[in-house]
Amino acid sequence: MEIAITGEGELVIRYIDKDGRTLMQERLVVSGSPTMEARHLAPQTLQTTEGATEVAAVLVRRSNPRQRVTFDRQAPAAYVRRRCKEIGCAAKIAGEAARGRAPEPEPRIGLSVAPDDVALARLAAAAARGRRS
Amino acid sequence: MAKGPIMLQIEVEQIFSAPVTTLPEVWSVALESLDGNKAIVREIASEKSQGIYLFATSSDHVAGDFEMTSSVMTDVWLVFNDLRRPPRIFHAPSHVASPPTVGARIVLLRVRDFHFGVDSPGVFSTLRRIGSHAYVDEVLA
Repeated sequence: MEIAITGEGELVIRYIDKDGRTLMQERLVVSGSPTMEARHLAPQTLQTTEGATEVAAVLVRRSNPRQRVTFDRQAPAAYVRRRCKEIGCAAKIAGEAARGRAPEPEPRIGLSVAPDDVALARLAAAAARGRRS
Repeated sequence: MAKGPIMLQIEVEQIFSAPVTTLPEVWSVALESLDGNKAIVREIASEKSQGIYLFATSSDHVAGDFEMTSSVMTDVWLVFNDLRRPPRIFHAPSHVASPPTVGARIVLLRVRDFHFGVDSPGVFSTLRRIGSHAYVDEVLA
């Protein structure tokens, strides 16, 4: 599946299985000019101890609202609705995914980094408020 | 016209919820148009952070030796409108200015890292973060 991007910014994409579990999260950052373009090949299946698992890509965050993003030439919400249907997600999971909602990954073994994006955004907002006052 | 200084950067981070038997390949590109003037690739660089914990889910198997690269494959392509003219391709790392290239219409930064897989009962836990950038100047020929 091809993710096409125009403009700079950060994307967070979570790959869910038919039960709505996040198997992988990708954070994709591109920087350059507002006219730059990018392409990223995203997996359709992931292999775990349970075998090959079909996944759907859920766009959960986009830092720059002006950045244009498509998944297989469709809007991410339209893509994930179709893909969720293909892999057998329940309607509720597909609806949540189309709204950009999927659980955070929870690595239980090996390496991990704690999600810090919300805290970082809060810190940056507080610093910006401090500069304005 | 000439575009002046151009920056292209890509970062990809992958976090997995559970141990996996394959790590998907990373393939990402960033591109920008040029005006066909004199393009000089000033710098190409990449970095990678990754750790892998490889193990067997069966006690009668032992994980074999394993080594993963500490870098990613990064290159910059200068592409011409005339597709019969082959692209100029520069590899990372490079921290000195390239010879000038006249007439290129697209500058493209490509980043790749390996797909990796193991057979059952092997399995691994990993986290991968890679980043690459290129700085290019387009000046009047």
